[in-house]
Amino acid sequence: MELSQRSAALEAAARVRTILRQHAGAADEQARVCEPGMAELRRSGLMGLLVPQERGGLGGDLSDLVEIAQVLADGCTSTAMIWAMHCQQADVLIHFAAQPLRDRLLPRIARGELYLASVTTGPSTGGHLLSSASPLTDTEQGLWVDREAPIVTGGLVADGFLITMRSSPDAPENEVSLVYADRDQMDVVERGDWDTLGMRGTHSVGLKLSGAVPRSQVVGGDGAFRTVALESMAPVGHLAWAACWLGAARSALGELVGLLRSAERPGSIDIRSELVAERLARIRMDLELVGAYLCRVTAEVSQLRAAGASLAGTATQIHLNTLKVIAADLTFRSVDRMVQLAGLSLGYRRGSALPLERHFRDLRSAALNYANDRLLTATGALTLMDRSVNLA
Amino acid sequence: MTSADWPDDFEKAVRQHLPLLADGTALTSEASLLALGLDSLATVGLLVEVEETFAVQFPDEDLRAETFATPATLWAVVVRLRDGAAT
Repeated sequence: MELSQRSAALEAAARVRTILRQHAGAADEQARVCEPGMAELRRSGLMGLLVPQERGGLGGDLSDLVEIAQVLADGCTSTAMIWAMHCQQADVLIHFAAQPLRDRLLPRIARGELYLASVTTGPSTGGHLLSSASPLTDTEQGLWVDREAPIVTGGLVADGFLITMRSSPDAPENEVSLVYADRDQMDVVERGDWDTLGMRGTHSVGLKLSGAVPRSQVVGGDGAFRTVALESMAPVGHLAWAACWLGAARSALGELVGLLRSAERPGSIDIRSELVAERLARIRMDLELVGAYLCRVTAEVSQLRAAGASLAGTATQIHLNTLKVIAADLTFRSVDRMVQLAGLSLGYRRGSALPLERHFRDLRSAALNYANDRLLTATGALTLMDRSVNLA
Repeated sequence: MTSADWPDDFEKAVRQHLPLLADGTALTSEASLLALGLDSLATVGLLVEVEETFAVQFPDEDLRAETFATPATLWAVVVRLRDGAAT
């Protein structure tokens, strides 16, 4: 993206942020997707941020993605997450869909007509990305998809789905294919509700999807989801999630500092005290570290992609996992510390002038969303494979 | 290459780390270890066991996905390291 286009995209993101700020509280309260925010996102062109310009998109890159995700999360973390995960799915299609499918879908994504939701979680496999229990079945109508999806972010408003399926009834659980399904190709039944501690505006309901798709809608080839996950879905997801969480924590700190510098500051907080200064410093340092590491890993992934190299190398995988885990841990810790600093009335109460308690609840999900535990296990195993300790 | 080309100790070590390989099913030389369930932690376990059993140490340049792709690729590295150590 040229400089002028980049600044236009940032201006568009700032306009969306204004709408998101107005509605973030209601989306959280009602546990529903912020419809005005989604409508503005669709109008803004940002749904096609990563879509190449020749397909009508903005032609943005991963550094644009992480920058804009932070701007949107400054308005509403849930909606930013919906957008970020849509961009993650778009990246998968851009890199792995066969040309006819790309020709059909990318212009629709660019026009804001196609919000893509991801169906990778399964009832028995949980968030284990690389396994799926439900098999694709060959039928006369095409490949039959019959899938219980316990958590689908923004699932009720999605126009299309990328769904992981076992590649055939005889295939082992770890032979997974990714298929694209238009909403009108699927019978969609809502299962269960979404009444959670935080990230309530993602309305990540359970869905039961069933229907037939043509074989041409398999993305990346039969049983090839592992490659799709390693080269696109996981790395772009980790970058985008980290950016959303960082954006939320930055927003929280910005508002807290704004209040501390104003006449509205509670008398109980003495900003000349060393204790307050030290607490602020620790909060700031956590965000500095996440920001710098996000920037570094974004550059590493971008450079490898530009060189046509794989992202599956041991060190790169460690860096991507580390980014996700430290972003989840440190942004939550920073908001926890902000709550401590702000105190019961300002930091913990719903309806406070600062939405710190909402940020706290939202960011508590970060360690659970593609669970840190699983990533730490993988990183530990990979560490034993990298005696030369190649740091990011 | 057939499974007869590697010793029982190797076969036993590999099989132990493949949760998706049924007992009694032959371990072919070109089988995908990944498809048979060799995840990252299992890879570490297999590496340590093979290193101890055959008294070799894998250098960093061999700690790649290609090494752990199939029984044949892994055995080839073990042979190279063992023979290299013996000379």
